[in-house]
Amino acid sequence: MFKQLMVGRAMASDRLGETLLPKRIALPIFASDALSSVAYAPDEIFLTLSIGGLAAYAMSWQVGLAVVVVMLTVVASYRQNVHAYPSGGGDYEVASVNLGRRAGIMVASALLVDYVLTVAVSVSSGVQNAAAAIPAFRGHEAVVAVCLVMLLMAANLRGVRESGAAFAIPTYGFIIGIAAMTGYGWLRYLLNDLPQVESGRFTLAPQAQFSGGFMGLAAVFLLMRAFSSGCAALTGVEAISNGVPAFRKPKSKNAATTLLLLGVIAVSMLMAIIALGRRMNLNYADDPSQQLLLNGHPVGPGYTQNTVIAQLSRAVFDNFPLGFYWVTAMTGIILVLAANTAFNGFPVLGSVLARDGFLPRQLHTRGDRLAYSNGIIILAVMAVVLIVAFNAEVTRLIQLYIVGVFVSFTTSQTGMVRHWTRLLRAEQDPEARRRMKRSRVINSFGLVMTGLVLIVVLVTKFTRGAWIAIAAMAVIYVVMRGIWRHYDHVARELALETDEAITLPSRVHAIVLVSKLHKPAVRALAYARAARPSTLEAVSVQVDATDAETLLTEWGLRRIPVPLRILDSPFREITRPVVEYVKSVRRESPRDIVDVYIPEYVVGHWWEALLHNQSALRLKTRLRFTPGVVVVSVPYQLRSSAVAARRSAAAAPGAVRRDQPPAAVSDQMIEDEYDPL
Amino acid sequence: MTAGGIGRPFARGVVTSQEWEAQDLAQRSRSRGVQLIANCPPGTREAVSGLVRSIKVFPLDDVLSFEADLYDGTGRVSLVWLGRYRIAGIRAGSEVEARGRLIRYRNRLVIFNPAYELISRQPSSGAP
Repeated sequence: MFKQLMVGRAMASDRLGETLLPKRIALPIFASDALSSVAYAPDEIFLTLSIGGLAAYAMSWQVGLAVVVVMLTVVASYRQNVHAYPSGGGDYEVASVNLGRRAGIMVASALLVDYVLTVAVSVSSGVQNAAAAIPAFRGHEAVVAVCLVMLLMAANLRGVRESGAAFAIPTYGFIIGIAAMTGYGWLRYLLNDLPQVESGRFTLAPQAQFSGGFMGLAAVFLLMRAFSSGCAALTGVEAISNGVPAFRKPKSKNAATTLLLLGVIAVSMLMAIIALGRRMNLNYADDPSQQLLLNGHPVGPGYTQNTVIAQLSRAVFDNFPLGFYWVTAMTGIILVLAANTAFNGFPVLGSVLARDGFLPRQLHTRGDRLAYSNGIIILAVMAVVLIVAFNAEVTRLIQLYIVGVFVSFTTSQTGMVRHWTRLLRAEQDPEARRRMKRSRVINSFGLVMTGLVLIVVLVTKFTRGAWIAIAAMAVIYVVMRGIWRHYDHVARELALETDEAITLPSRVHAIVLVSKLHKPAVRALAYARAARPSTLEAVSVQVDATDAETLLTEWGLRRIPVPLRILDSPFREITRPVVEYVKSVRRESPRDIVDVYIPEYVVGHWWEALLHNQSALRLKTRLRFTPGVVVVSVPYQLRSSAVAARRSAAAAPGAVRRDQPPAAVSDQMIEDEYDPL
Repeated sequence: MTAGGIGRPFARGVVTSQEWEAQDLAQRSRSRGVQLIANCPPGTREAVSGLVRSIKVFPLDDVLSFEADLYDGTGRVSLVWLGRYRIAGIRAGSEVEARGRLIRYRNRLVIFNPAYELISRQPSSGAP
């Protein structure tokens, strides 16, 4: 009862898609993933540059600027995407339609890996930020992160109602918090009142390879690494292209505007944080125990390094601790929300892939528990594996994160270029042609940029962990392609020929299997007679001579109007004599169908199932390979099956969506015996 | 399987249990001196023997009949007694010798109301 209440109250989380969103609500919902990456992107830039020491730090704003350029290019490109493909298929649709099935599978595998990493990175980063405010988390980040993932999984399994407010408040809170932090920081800077962050009292020593100075090829490589890590800020931008149908009309225009807003906000936040960090002497190191020097000596492993946002907000709001807690809290919440969008997107993508035949077809039924709960569980498990394997270290997880995102960026931009080229071939109107050409230029530029970044990411990150992501993508690609091939072969095998002759069998011979004369046997006989076969015969196998005698006697006493045939069983088995007999009937009349009626006990408990129906199951399996034979299971519900009936009726959350109450199975229904004779 | 063909499986070296059983039954028929079913043309009065593979009862007044499916390794013949519900002693797995006219009825060989003799029961059908 309680469970029914819970299932009844909870709504499927994709209900959100059924109410159209105004921009002010759509922005937080779709932007949470992209904005949340502002929480860890500046960290990554500073951290990677710290390897080169202070001289490298001086380049931090240039690296940030490069990331900004890529971000704005991607935003501009995706504005073309949302106009051209307003159906919400996102990168997958663009790639499949324009570049073919294989590109579609590639993008799909990149996206799937991406979702897992979104959860892992967002939750780990959230815990990292929270550890600044809640020191109890320190040292146990992995455990806390795993618990958070489990909570998210449980919440999504139950069916979380995604209301706009739940997203809007933390997202706007985050934006306000960061804006306030940077605004107040700049104010204090102008008033010469800007304090240092807590790591400002240290000096930053470069790592071994740069101890002689920051120059040469190694320096360039390090800058590239920092840039590719900073591109983590772009993760989540494509989410809007998946959500265009949810916008109010005009959908594409609103989506494009939201994208622009998102881009501008994200870019401003990124640059503001980097600039402020530099002004406040931020020293964020890759290996803090060795690189951060206090009075010339390394601080050692005892020192815990807080995230950039945590350090900045604590220092800027040093006389206003509420500000610090606000910023940290909002950062944590928006990261959790970003992880939650992955829990929604992953099963939806799985469902779409199942529809197209790349994943098992049964995942496509959206109301079904299968797609959602299995997808959610798989996502949570994989994220936990990653979190544990990398000990919730955001830096290491990011190495895997970016490559998937840029694979799908590059592929979708290639698809868009193809799209415009294809349309331009047919379009005559000069105005439209001009627009298309302009879009094509934008997408081409986007393609070049994302392609370059992809190469940089691969070069700089392959050995550091990107190979794991690529290996995972490759495995998923192979599996999905294999599944598609299988479905394709089967479809071709089953397709009707152009002149398919549908030959009708001439007669039906019905055989009813009885072991003893009891209620299920009588029911099976009644159902078989009701089907009006050409011939009807009851068949029993003589395993024990006395039982056969009893059966024969009773048969005669009750004058059952169906002939009874008793088969000999020299080896005390049931399956072979029956199969042999069925085959002989088929041999005598090859154009006739044989219907084999088998009574089946319906039980309530799993252990009961072990005690019944075993021979019937074996027989069914053997008969399955005999052509021209139909096996009919005649169920007989035992009293104990009421338990199972109640269980199966209450279980499906799909029933909630269809507004059906769970079926009531009464014992009265079991009691009502159907006595056919 | 004709009498001449029985030697072939041995020549192959591998015999399935069904083939072995068929040979055994045919051997027993021959040792009793009766004809093999495969060698009986329809329309003739013959004596055959073999194993009852299945029995069939039909307890309705107007079509009361008892049927036993006889198999001797070479062919099948249905022994049909009209007007009887049971024949005592004939069960699935019994060995029976039957005598009567073989008739082709609906694509099967049938002997109606044969004279029969029970041979010692096979132990495989369970305890007597």
